Amino acid sequence: MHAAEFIGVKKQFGGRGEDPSPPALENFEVAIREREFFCLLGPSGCGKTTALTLLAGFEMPTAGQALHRGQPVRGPSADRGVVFQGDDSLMPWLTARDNVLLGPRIQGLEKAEQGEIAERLLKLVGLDGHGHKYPRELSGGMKQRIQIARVLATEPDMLLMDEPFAALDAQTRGQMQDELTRIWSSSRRTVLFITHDVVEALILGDRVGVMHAGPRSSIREIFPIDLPRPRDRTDPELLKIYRRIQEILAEEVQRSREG
Amino acid sequence: MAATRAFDLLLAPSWQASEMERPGAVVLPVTGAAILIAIWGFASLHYDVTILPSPGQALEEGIDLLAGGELIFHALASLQRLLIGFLIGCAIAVPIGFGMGLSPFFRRMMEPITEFFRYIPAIAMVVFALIWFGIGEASKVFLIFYNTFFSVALATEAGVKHISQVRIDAVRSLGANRRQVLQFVVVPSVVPYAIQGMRMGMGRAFATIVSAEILAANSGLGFLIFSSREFSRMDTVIVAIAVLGVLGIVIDRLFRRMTRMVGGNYLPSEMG
Repeated sequence: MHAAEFIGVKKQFGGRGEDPSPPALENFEVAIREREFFCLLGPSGCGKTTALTLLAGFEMPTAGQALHRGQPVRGPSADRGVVFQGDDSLMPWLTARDNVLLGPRIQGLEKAEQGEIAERLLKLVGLDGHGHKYPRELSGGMKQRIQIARVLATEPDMLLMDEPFAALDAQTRGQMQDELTRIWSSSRRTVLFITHDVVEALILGDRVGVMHAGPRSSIREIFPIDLPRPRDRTDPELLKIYRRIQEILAEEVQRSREG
Repeated sequence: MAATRAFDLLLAPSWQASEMERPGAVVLPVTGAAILIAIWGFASLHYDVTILPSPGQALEEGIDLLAGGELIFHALASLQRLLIGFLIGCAIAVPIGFGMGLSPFFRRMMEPITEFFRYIPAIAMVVFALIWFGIGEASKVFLIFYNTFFSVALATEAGVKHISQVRIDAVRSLGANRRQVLQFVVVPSVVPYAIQGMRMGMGRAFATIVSAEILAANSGLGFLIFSSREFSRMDTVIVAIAVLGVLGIVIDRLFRRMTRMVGGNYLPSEMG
């Protein structure tokens, strides 16, 4: 069984009748394997975030199915932890530590266990000693680390990451990619990672699914990246795939302009 | 509109560092007050004590009233009414504001009521209050309640409407059920809005207390002002006004301190 699967998914936004916008996704199909790091890559507006919200359960497909372990997704669940693009998903009234502990508290974990979890995860994301700080006292990169720690605290079956590093400066972004590789290697959960950054997808992913330009978007081609981690951004093998994907993306952007 | 107004207030400088930390923090206000008192003193030279007593005469009267216990008696009477009406107002307005923010059905039902009464000042309700609640405490408490209620209810509603969807999504995908979404996101998000509404409501309630005590009362600072008129005791009037002003400043400062203590961390990062 696949960790997650999209079967014949169509997603159309907007009310019925008035001004029906074209569907964001149509015939969207992809199967994500157990313990795989899957990157969904595409030009902006191609509906890659839409695919994630369907698997997260924030939205329902108009047609077709989003499956998690063979079961249709009916709503959000702690099985599928989400890391959001913006850091405004952190609670500004809670310290970093209390933000990390949101999930365990929602699940009613014992106080003693909570303490252990907070220490372990803050350490894992490299923020031990910063637990008492509030989000506004933390940098963009640190806030995304807190988001990652928060989502790991509930030990989800799967991680859904929606361009989590897109808002960071280039240097921090690179650092965060290396950190995520390290964190992921230690726990090996299934990840669906959304990005528009080709290098990011190649550094992180086991496979990279490149999407058509939207609307009515679907997967155009899937690239397996069989390179050992941590990966070198200048690896000739990686650069070869990089060039190929860039060509595809250029084609897609061109096509959508003529579209 | 209520929403944007509450929002503007959230951005008001009261969130920033205490004013006492800025240069000239003491000198400038003292100079301002001194100028006012000087003009008053100068003007009082030309008028009878029943028209405009001098600052010294007012001070003397203030000390007399304080020593005789009347000042404290009247101030406490006003404060008690203020507090009771304010607390009842908050206790009813917060749940109703929440209901309006959470349920479009309830909001549509309540809107004609809140929209209608928003622009009717408490003073217009004085006679109504007297007829219905009598000349005792109840009519004054009602007027304070009236003023508190709408500010707090509308601010709470605005707070609920401004809750970030991302935060709700975030806790839902951490496993939160409906009750937990309320507990972990909705209620804490509304806290700073509700406190600002309370501060506004308290300001308006303060303005009402005098009018509430004008018509029928035998205690309170408003009573002190109006009963002094009969004996042309302008010095007493000035003392009562001064005490009102000082109480107002103290209460507002308390609210500011409270918002900083409780509310500071509740603010979204883009506002803090």
